[in-house]
Amino acid sequence: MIEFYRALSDLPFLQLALVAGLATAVPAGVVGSLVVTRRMATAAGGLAHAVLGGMGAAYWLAASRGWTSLHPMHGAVLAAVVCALLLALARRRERTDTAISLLWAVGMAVGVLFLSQTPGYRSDLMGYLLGNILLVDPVALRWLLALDASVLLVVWLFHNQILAVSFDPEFARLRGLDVEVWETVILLLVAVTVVSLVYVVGIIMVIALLTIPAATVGRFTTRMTVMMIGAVFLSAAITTGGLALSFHLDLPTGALDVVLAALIYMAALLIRRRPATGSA
Amino acid sequence: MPQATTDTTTAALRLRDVHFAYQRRPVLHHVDLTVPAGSFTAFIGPNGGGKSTLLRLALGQLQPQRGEVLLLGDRPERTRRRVGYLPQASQLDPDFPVTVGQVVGHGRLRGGWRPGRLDAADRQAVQQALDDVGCADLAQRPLSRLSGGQRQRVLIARALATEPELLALDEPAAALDPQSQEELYDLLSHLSQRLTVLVVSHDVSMVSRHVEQVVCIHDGHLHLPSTAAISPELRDFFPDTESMVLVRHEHHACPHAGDDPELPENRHD
Repeated sequence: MIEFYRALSDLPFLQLALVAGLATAVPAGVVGSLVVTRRMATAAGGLAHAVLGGMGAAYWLAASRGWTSLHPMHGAVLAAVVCALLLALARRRERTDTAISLLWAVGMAVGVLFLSQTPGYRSDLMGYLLGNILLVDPVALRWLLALDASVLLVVWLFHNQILAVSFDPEFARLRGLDVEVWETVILLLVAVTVVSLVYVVGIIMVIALLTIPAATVGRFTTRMTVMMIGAVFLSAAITTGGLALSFHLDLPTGALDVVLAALIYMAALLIRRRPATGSA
Repeated sequence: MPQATTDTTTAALRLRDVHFAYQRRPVLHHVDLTVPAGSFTAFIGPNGGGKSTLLRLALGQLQPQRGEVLLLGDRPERTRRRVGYLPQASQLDPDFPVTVGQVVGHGRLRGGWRPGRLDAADRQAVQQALDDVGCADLAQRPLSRLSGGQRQRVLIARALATEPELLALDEPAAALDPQSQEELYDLLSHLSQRLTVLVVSHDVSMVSRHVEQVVCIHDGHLHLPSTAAISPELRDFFPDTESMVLVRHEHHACPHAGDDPELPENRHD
């Protein structure tokens, strides 16, 4: 562990990775709690995979059209936002799981097509698919922090509306809340969070960090605010622990994060059952 | 005791010749109905019979294919914010991580993009609503830790926090033990002294001891209030048969109603 601390002080890329891990822990904990309690993990998975379409387009535009200032993060954010809006619209006309499956598959397909037309070998592509926190550069970190701030601001300002719509949409609608708009806002929060998690655990494993920390903390609390704060700290511990283990074991950080999260969850299962629901 | 009336100025809810069908399956036909302001009214009938559909029409959550619905004197879309609503318990996640105070606070939310924080007046209304249902000491408790009866009281408090003119409850006593059911209806009777209370229930015996007017969702054509249209068994349940309204639905809602020769669908001449 001492070696890891020493390396942290010497290696700027490791410092960047640590800050990125901590930055992603914030939306992972806050939005992850909403994903778990609202049972939205599949929607989050669909958005995560659809993000590849935006990343692929950004790569292609940068390499083939000379848009060199375009960062894969830009494509990811745009794709996530567009897909969240599409999902919100499609859910009114189509079964939710069908709409998610479409976005999931089409997003991946578009990404693969763009990447197949992009000249040169993209060595960092596997990093986005399977996660590589060492890919985080200063541009990506600024985006991560901006996404953090926007997620926190929206949840802080509209916590009660989000909670009311999640708990009882019918009552919320009668109170004059535009439930469809708030559902879209929640999907956008998930989309933004997914983008930040892609750097840490990769597209394929985003759902893990979005659900496992919140589900773990959820076994110990019956309050949403406590669940969110606890999940932020647990996510931060997981990303930091995964980074340290990765440094020592020379294994992929994203996969270690997921395994670490799963071990903690299993320990929580053994320690405590879910808080009991009152009876009639 | 308030009686069924055609005077819209004192009507909390009025339906005129309302027809509703899910896809092609007709549920309600030619419904004319008036719920007087200040009354304690129940929509009764079996599960799946159309009671909740009637309530959803009343609240503007469904639109009739024909006819008119007036809630508190205007279209439901304009007036439903003046209604305190309690949905069926089965629609809510009992494990959702919210406290009692937060849930009741949802009754103070308004539309638009204003931050959803409660001000001092909102917090006072929340406390008052909890006092009204006898749950003043539960504000900090997680909802998931309450008994079924306590949970229903808290959800009624949420409806009261909206400062409603009409309280609409969909199967509020379902899945409660008999004592909790009795306590709940006692509470609703008490509340009906200051606002209109509308209950949907399949439990005829329970509502009969408390409500003033019953709307029976019944298989047949529309029956306006008339003692002649009510079977003798139902009269035992509801001594005050003048206050009973029968409305069409697809199943036999009322005990032995199918044997009643006074009902048009039972006449074979």
